[in-house]
Amino acid sequence: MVFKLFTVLKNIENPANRANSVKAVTCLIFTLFAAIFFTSSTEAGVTGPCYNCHTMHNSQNGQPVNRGDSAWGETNVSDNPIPNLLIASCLGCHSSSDGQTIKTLPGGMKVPIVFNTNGYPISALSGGNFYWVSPGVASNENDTKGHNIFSGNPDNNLNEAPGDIGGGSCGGTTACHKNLYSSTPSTSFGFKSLRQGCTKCHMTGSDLPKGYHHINDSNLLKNSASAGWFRFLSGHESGAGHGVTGLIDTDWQYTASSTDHNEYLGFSGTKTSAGGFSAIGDTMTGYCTGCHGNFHIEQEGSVWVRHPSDAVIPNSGEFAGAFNASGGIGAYDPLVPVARPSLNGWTVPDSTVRLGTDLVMCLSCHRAHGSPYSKLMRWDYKGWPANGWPNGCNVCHTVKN
Amino acid sequence: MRLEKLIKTKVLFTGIGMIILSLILYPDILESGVYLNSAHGNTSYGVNRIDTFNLGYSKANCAHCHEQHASINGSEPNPVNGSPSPHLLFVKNFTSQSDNVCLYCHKGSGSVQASFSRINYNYSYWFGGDTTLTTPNNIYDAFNPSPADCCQGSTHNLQDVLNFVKTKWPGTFGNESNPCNACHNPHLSQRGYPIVRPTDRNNIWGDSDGEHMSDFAAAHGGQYHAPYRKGSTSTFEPEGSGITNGSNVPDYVTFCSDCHNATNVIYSSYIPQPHMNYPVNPCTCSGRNLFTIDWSNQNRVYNMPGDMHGSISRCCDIDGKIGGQWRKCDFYVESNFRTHPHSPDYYKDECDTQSGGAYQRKPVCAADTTDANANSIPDNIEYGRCDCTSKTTGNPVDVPRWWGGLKPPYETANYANFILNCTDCHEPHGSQNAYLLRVTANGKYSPPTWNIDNRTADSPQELCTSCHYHSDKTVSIYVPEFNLTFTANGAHCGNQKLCLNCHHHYSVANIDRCYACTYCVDSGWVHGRTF
Repeated sequence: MVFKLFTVLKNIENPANRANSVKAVTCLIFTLFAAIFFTSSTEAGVTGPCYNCHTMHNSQNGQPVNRGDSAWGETNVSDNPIPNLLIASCLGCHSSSDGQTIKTLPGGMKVPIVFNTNGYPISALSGGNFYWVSPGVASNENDTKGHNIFSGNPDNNLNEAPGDIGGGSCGGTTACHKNLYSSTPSTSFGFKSLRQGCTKCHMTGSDLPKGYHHINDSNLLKNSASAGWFRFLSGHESGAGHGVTGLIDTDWQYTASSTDHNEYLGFSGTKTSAGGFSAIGDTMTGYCTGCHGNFHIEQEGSVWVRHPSDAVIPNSGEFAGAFNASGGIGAYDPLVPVARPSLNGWTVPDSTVRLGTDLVMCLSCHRAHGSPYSKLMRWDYKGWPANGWPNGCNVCHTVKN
Repeated sequence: MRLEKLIKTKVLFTGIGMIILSLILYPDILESGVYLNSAHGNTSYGVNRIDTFNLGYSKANCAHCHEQHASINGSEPNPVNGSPSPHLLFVKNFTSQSDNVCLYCHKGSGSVQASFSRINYNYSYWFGGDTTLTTPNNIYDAFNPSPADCCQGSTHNLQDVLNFVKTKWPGTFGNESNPCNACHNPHLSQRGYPIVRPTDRNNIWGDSDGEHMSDFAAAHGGQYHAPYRKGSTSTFEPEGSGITNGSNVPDYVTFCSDCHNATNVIYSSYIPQPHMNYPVNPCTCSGRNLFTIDWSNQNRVYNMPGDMHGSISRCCDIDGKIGGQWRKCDFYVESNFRTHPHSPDYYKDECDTQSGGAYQRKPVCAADTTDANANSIPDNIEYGRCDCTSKTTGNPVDVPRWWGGLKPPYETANYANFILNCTDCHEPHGSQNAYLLRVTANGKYSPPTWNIDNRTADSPQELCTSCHYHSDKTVSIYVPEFNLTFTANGAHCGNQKLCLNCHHHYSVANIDRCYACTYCVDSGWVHGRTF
């Protein structure tokens, strides 16, 4: 905080930065005010000058500020202000026209980039990247590589989320559970504003997608609404009060290793239901099943009929050697993440995989946003084995290589 | 900062360069695992379902057999069965003899596999060398022969297989298992080495030292000799080389004996019933337990398990080459020397004249005056039925017989104890013959039109005669008692019905009247060794 204050004061001394600095001071005052009255929120997820994200009047030196969906590095601005005084949409803030996947803004605030307009980035973050499904790039094949969040680009292959169970009362052709590209009506499905793209998955636990970015991030374990859940993945309506529990990696796995990664909660519960928070708890898989629920109907009797998700990886048979395990303990591989049966009290990631305890889940194989590979896979499964590359499946299926 | 970036870039490219160089110098770094070494995992000829191929999946990819979510691109690829299937397979693992996930690809017309680089002809084609046997040309047809009559065709009944293995090894097989997996592992089996023992699911059988037929034979006091390839008397199964000792063929005996052994009770729901005796007892198909098989026991004790084709050594000289031990069916009678009846000298004792006075008509026989045709000549005299017995000892003289002798290459090899491989006689999947018997064995073709009903008693085309003489060999032998050279024609003495009526695995346990080596010295000269 002292450093931030020093930075702001320093900027005031510089005429070139004075306008911004004035805003920064204003923001700082608000911040101090908030710190006094809301002490628990002093370590917000978003830090730094307010103008990094907000514009009071969508005007700076007489020119509009809001760049809408345009990425960092692009200048497509609009006279139309957007809600919450933001300077860009979700997509705009989290996109970049270069290859960077973390943007560092004044004040040190870091913004995770999930869409690089100039190509799939070398250092994609843990959720992957939307590049291959973006307009102008998408094709029948490329549309299989990501969640189609772009409003102008419906999925070429799918009319609805595969494995969709109907979304309960959240049905309809534009519902979040059906697709991500279309817009919901301005008031529907319990929301008071339209939802499209990012906000069909993130921040669904509140009326408006606000507040999440200002939630206290001092505790990396996100296991409640007050903590903002993991990556702002929260439920609504029948899932209200639920969300995804996880331990966040502070750089979104820009760097990743066995000791440097996210942690996800899993629950080895029903294998014959369509999942959901009510069935399998506040798990990542529980969240995915909101749209892909049928894929969680994975057993008949004791026999697998679909690939397990949220199922304990056995410490037997070919799995006894999973993750190069010895004695049931293997090394965590960020390429093939596992879920933990409990994250209570966790403050740092575990570098091991405990066979017989930890679980395979949706994200063990898939990226959440997109990947260079069909079906958002973390590796080129479709091209294997002709591609000559290792198959991530073999991390668990050790004799199928 | 820029320097740091430059260093990072150099390190990155240096590392990539070293990896590429290593792969060039040491290509084995990219060592394939068991699946990629398997037939299904081969990138040239592995699994390649038409629909998933069209979706762009690599040949040998898991998706050709397993649908991770029972859906690709929002729908179920062909074949569409409307619901997810056990083990994530594209259809139910096993339903029936004709509805089996393996057979969706391994079939002729309608196969969902894009193409095959090798046609699945039967064993007789590929290893027996009979390239005229182009039917069946796929596994489906092998398991579903036409006509579907156990007397004219046979298969491993897949439901019976599943019933047995899931009972025998419940920890390995269950209701949702595929019976094909009793013998194969789809993630492991290779084109050249397709079999995996049900008792050892993670290892290919037949590809390692100690797993060949030469090893089994040596361990059981015998020798293996490979059958001829079709159309050759110089090349041998399975590969058409000059190797004969079984070092190049899997030990199918050990493999098959996991199920077919001396103790396992295996029910077959559709199999010819024993005690056939066409036309009195024609072949009928119904269920019964299979005959047990003991290929390992070397003990020749009467009524004990064991097989002469297995580890029991030859107890007598079936081809007359070891010590001149002939088959003994009967004794010399007068009619052996001259056609009877022959008027008018009925009463001439040809035993006497032929032996120079040392032998005579057996007196008891000659004294029998039974005269059925009432022509005043006793029938025994008229038809020359009396044995020739020694005038001093009263002993008769054996008539040498020559049946069951070995044909080449066994005749030539003349091992004391031939131990056969199961596949020398049997097809693994199905056959146009009964009992999975091969159509071509030891290089000899048996027309697939035969069945165990319409065979004549002395058919030269029986499978058995691929290796054994029956009536198709004559051998001359000098008989000093009568100073003559006798031509033994190989005819079977006694009942000359279907070979399989008497000679089958462990037959002594089931049909007490059947015997093989009738006079085995160390069995006390009693009947009872089985083929």
